[in-house]
Amino acid sequence: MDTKDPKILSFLCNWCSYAGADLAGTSRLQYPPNVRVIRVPCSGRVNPQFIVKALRDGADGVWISGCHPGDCHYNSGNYFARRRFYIMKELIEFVGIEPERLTFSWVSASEGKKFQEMAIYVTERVKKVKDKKSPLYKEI
Amino acid sequence: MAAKVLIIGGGIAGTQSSLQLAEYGVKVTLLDRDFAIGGTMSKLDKTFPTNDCSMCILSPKLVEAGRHKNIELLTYSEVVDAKKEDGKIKVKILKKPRYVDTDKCKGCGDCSEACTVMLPDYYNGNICERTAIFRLYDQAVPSAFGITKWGDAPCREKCPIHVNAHGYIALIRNKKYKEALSLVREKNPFPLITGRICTHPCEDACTRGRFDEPVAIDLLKRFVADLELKEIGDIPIPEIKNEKDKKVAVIGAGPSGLMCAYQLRKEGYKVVVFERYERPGGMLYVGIPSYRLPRDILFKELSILEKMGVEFKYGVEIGKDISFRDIYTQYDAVFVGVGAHRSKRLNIKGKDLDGILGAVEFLREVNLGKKVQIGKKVAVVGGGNAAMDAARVAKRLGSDVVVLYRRTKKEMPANKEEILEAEEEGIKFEFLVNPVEYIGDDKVRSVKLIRMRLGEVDETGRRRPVPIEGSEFEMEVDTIIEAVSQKPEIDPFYELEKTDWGTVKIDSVSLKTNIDNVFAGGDCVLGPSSFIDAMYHGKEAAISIMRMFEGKDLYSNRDKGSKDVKVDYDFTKEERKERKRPYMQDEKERVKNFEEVVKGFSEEDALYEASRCLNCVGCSECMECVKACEPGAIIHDMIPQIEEREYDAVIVSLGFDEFEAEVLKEYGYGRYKNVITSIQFERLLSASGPTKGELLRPSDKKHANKIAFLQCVGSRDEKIGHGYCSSVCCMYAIKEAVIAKEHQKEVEPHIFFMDMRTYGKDFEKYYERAKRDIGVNFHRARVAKVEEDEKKNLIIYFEDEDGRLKKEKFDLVVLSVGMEPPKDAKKLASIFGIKLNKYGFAERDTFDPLSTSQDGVYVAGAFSSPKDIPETVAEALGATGYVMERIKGKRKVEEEETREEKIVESEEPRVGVFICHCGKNIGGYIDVKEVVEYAKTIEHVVYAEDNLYTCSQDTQEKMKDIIEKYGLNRVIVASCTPRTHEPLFRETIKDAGLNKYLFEMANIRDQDSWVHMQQREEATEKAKDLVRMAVYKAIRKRPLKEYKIPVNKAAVVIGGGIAGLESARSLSKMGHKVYLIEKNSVLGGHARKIKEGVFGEDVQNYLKNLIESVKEDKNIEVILNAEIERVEGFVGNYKTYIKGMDKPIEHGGVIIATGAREYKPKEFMYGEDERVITQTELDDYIENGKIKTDGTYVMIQCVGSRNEEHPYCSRTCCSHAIHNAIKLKEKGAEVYILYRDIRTYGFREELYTEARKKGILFVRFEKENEPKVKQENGELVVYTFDPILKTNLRIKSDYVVLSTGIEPDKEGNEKIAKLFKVPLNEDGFFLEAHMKLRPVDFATEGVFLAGLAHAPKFVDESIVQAKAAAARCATLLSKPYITTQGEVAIVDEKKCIGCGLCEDVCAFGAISLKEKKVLGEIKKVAEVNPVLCKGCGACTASCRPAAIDLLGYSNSEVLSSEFALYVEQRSWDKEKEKIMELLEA
Amino acid sequence: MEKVKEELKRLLQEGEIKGVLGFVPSSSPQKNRVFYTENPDDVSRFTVSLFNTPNLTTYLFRFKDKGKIALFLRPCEQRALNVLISEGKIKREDVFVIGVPCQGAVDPFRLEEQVDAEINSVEVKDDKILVNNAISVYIKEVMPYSCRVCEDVEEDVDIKIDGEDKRPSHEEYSKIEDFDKKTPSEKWAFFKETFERCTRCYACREVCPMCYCEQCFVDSYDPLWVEPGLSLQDIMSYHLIKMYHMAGRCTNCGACERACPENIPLSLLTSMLAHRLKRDFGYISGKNGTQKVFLGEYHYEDKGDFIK
Repeated sequence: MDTKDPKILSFLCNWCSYAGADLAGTSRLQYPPNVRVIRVPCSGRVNPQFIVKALRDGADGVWISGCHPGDCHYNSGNYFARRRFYIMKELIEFVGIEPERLTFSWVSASEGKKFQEMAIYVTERVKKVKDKKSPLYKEI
Repeated sequence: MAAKVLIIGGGIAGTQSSLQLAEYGVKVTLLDRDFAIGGTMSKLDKTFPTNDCSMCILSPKLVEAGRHKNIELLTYSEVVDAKKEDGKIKVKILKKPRYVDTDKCKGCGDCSEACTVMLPDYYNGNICERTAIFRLYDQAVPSAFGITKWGDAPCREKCPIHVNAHGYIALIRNKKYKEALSLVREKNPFPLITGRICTHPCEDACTRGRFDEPVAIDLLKRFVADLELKEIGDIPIPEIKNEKDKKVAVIGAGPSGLMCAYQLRKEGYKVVVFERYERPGGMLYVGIPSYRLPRDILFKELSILEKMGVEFKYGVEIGKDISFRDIYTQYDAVFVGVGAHRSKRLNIKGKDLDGILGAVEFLREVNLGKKVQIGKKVAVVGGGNAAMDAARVAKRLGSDVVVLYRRTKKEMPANKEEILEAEEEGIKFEFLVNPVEYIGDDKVRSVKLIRMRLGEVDETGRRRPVPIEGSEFEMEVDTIIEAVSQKPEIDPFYELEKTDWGTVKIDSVSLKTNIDNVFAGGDCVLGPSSFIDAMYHGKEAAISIMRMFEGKDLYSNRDKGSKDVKVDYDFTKEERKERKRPYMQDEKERVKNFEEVVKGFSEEDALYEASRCLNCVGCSECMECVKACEPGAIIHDMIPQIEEREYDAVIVSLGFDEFEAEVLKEYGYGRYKNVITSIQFERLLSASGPTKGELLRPSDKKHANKIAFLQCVGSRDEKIGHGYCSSVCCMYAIKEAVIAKEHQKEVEPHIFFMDMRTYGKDFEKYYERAKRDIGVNFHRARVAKVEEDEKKNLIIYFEDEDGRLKKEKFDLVVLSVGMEPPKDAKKLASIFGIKLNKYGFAERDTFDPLSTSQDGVYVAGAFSSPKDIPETVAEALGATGYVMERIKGKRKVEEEETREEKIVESEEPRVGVFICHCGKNIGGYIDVKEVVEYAKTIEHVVYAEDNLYTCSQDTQEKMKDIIEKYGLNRVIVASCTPRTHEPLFRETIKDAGLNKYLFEMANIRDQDSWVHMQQREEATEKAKDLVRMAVYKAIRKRPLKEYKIPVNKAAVVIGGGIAGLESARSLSKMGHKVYLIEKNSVLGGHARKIKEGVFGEDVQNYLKNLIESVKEDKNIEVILNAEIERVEGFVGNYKTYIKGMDKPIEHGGVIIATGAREYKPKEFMYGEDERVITQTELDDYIENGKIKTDGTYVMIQCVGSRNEEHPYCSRTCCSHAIHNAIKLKEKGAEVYILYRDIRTYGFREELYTEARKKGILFVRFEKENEPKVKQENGELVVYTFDPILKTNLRIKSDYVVLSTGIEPDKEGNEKIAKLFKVPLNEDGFFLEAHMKLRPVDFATEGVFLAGLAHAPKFVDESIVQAKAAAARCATLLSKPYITTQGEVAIVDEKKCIGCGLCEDVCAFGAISLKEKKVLGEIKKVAEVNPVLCKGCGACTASCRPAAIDLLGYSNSEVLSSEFALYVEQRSWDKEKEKIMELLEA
Repeated sequence: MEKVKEELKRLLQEGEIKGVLGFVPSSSPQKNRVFYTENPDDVSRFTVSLFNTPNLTTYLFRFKDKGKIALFLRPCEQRALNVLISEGKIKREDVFVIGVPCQGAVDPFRLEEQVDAEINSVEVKDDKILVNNAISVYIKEVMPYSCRVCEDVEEDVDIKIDGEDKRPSHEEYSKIEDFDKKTPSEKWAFFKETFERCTRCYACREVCPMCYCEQCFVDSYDPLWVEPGLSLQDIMSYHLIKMYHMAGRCTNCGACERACPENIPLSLLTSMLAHRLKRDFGYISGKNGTQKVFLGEYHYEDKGDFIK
């Protein structure tokens, strides 16, 4: 597998970031085609264990995006998520998995432009990682 | 039969009312004047005080309104008439054409890409442009586009053959030259010729001509025609329709004849043209000099006719070579277009001398290449184009030429350019002269002329020339060329009837002559006229002939040719732009030859000139959108429609208009580019706005850092008739300042204000935070004026608090514009008979705040007074309360279909994949076929196909068949976004007998084809991945159930104050049993202390009647002295235990209206000196007449508000104090009001104004420097610092009146909050589910909120909330059952360890720990209440042993989808095998 | 200690407590044995030392519904008890806490490795342990790192053994901070070297008081969080997720590391968690029994700068 075309798994919350991604589409804002999205109701649904699983299975990067603080459709999902992501991020970086592989963002439903910028940023960031695959990737 | 309700205005109020009523089971029509609903809220970036993204919270509501079965959206519509009949309201609705079929439009935007016209984007406050076909905003509902058309283009209408000038100009501007030319050719087959010699009436009609100069339309046309010839060297031949056997003769190959021949031939008729000369063209050939119309161009363009198969017989003279009778008897039809080739001559003395020529004859001789001797001195008589031609030809033959014209230059009928060019070429003009005699022997030697003056206006609209007696003079000449007029030579056509003018007589509509099959047109009918008029005749004659052949009526729907249309256009914002002149041959050179003088436009010139078009009618009808639109949704000839409807009730929620800030000249809005309004600023802040959220100022698109916000622009200003406060501007300005700072750290915001009115819930804290933490600068100052410097920076002049005049420079000035009644308010009010107040807002009654003066018509939102979003939403819901009371249960609950569902759990997954092209939207950028082929290879996929539009009705039907035929049990659609389309497809598979949750979508449009338009291969790969991920997820899907839980119809209302009483009464009227629980022994609550409203309303009388009606109401059980001990259950089924009652109350919902109380002051010697009293105590004094009429009263504001203990504003005290102060003052007392900010928002501002006029003294104080109350020698003295006088005041007072705040009963509220699992805010008031959009709901379902328990407010505001809460509660109670959603959390009790983390993270109180026996062991496990669960998954992600899972987004679904991403690298099977091996080992 | 023993005896005799859970010497002097008794006469056998290896709270689950149990707990172990109390797993009134002055806890496997001989006797001398009266080993080197970054607890004991806390020098997480400075590949290299030894015996899980799930995520087949096998990736997946489950719960008692037969430095990870929570949230797990669990609450102002 060549990191020329990294595959990036993205979890987007339905109400803000997924809507922001749709808006980038309706506005025809172009970005690299490396991101693959899994839609979830809320960033609070994203179990940080998904990150470990994805990096182990073959994702070159993981990008999780939810509503800005205060905007959560479910009032507080993103706040809980923030703590969880923090822990997992610290663990992952601590064991030596490149920080570039993991990105979190808040993108609102009206931030089509930010979504585009984030997609570009995330892709560039993952491409920066020199190793071909994440150390956690297990080839078979 | 369900009741029908019309809601006018699709802003947040109208949308909320609609959703609420629709949920209640009422049929709603939601009407909006614009192309989409959303109103002002959709334009906002963030909302205060929570800084929520406005669109994030609004958009789901709009989408829901857009697809709710009970809501019909009528956008771009107006009510034009209404009347009452049998208690119903009958309305006439005008549906204006949006020119796009909303059902067919897929919202892809291809049309907008193709559109050639840019118009100011009014949605974005005109700070940017948008295309003429457009969507109001990206998230608009409906998402369909619409076209702006303000009328018919004057240029096109003025053209006799209606060539769409506006259209081709627009195309040229977009460099679509080919398209421009073919648009021309649709109407005019001869653009090369027309572009050179047309008299271009279009330009005379051009709207721009009213401002500076008309657009050079003709030259633009020539530019594209020349370009084609230059590039391909040839002219395309139009397609000939089916050959027909009728044969038509056209006599005369001039403009009318050739146009006629062209039109007929195109339709397939055989045409033979008889022409007297050897070449075609008629007057174009023999009349127009070649320096204007080069012969190669002329013959090249006309040659298309021959190529089309028109037969030409040249050199045939009628009457000599063939008789006219022969022709009209041999041919099925004849068109006579022989022109007017004979000059009319002056009948004056000496007319028969030699050397006097007719212009036509002169030009013909020259054009046919004959030698004409004219001598050196030539005089041309006349002022038309023929005169100009004759003069300029004579000049080229080497003569000195003078033109003699009897009027002035202004009246000359010749083209302006012709005159100009003649002048350039050295031709002299003598105006206001007329020949009276030619003098000479055989040959003319001189001409005697008489001077003329202009007299009265004649029938042509020009002033008639009148000879001046005795002014005759002579002029020497060698030749006279008379270019006065022409007449036809029609002697050979003696069978034709003629007019007195010697022209052919025709029927003016059909162009038919006295002979049945003979038609005539052009100059032989009109006399000398223009090329374009002749073309018109040719075209019309062809139509008549074809209709005659087809046996159709000759007269219906005929085009009347040239039409005068005028467009209203606001030129104030236009800049002058000079009209481009074409390249010309040098004037000195050109008089020596006959080469073309005008060389035309370069591309650059053409683009410049095209850009001068104002698009004065909006859409140019260039039809590019029609070509681009694959579903064929665009209908340019859509017409307005009027429909009659009948409604049970109407809610008017028109919203407001922004104050038009141009009125206030001192601020320079409209003149200074960098002075903008708050709404424009919102758009600048918005991530989806024109700058994508970058704070770029309009003048130079540079980042604006120093920003001034000017408050009260168009508010609190009696001079301009706005004596009210707009209520929201203070908060929105602070919010905008805060957000600006968030966007750009460097921003330095300054707010210039009079009083800071942050009176709403949590507003004061926001203000404090902005001041303290964010660094927003506040200046208590009114700005005198704004000036602009040379760099477009703005200088603000203001008086600071110390009274010093100051000026300061800013990058950007934002005017916090106030609210005005909407423009259509007056009209609508008169249609419905609604009374408006003096400002034009809907009149309202304090105790009946949402009714209008018209029974059955209710009002909500800013239309009745300026207000913010939460109050607007409360009113919107409150208005539905009124409606629900009115319609008395006339509603329709959707019958739940009891369709059999296919059982799929036991089956192997059989997946069907439907992949959408979405026209070109996906298909254009992704190889859809390849994705289909790929999909077929994915395990479990048994069927895959592609569709042009998967969402179309027929595809949906087909999909059902395929599900049946292939036994599918999982369905995937790969197309657009599930956010809009998932519900539709779920319905479809449900119809096919599948559980609707067995559906999954892959978003290959919004998140693939549209964002990777240049990367077909990668986009296709991504589409495959997304489809595979969807399939992998789908195979893990299980059917989900929606449970139904019965609802108890009774309600409990806690609190017997106004809010409680009103909501109880309202619920009872809606048909529900109500238990009204009051902890005290009497009803009335806080209101018992209020004597009068601030406008003098009799609160006690209202309260008395309200209590009476509640007591009498058999449906309401009042329980006094009640204490709630315990509450069991949840939404729909509560059991509330009251102390001392043996049985619990069973109820389905609860409204918390526990009120609040007056703050009991500890400060200002209250309780120490009896002359220190509160406002409510003063109320008593006033009522009992215990006023010291010669006394001095000092009122102190904000006692127990806006301090550490109560960090909020109590909202009502300012108005209350002023109300009392006016009363005291009227009795003669002296009144001081010591205040921090006067917060008389809305119309209460009038009280403040009145108080100041009456001489009540207002002295401001700072919180840090509060007044002091002292006893001095038994006297009561108040000390305060006057910031204006800069001195300490000592006021000896008879009474000190404390304006005390409102405080919640914290402990009482805490108890209730715990019982019903709802939250309180820091101040101890109840915290609603969402500050903006759910003001009377709690996050916990089944519990609602109203009145002072929510926050301090006035009586009318409490009533609104009470009605709203009742409406919300009744909507719940009226349901036969509560249906849970399918996607809820479930617990695997075996795995659950009872740690309670899920309970902690659940925001909805849906999870609780219960002792249960699991596998024989008693343990604590989590239990999910599916009724309360919202399916967010916060619990699932928190669970360590994965004991709690979220259906629909389960761990296995997500991980399966995740795994699918790498399946190319890893084989699922191999993996499984390996795992099994390992497990075994 | 004797006073405490007297009291325990009395409590047992008077039935105020059901039993006592503690340590008694075993045949391996480096590793005292866990011992439970309901017999007042046995109380005298209990010992408190560096060689008390596991965290006794882990054993409490075995005595569920038995009655009030007395047990010896170091401060970090008291914190673990607090976590279990706040998670509702144990009721405070069901335990009788005997506060133990802490000197740290020796990792017997590490000591064995250092000594590389059968251990017959151990003797603590200042900061060293004298093994078999011959070999001297620094205590610091045979203790998990966690013992050097110990956090305080809000003391809530029923009885306290007199004596001074003699925990090893407090290092303020310097090792963690140093480790943070390494490059990702250096970090990974370290984990590869140390964690590759993991045989997934799950001893670390078994001794952990926080690991009370009935089915551990690692044993779950659906969802399959971690695949079986001994590849470094799967080992690391297990430890990462396990550590994630420890966030805000693990009190850094070091029992896992002491239990690891492969001497994997697990407490480096647990200490890192403790470090981050303290530094960025001011959160110390199990500080008391009423504190909300870390992942069960939030604050608006929580650290969020890592989110774009």
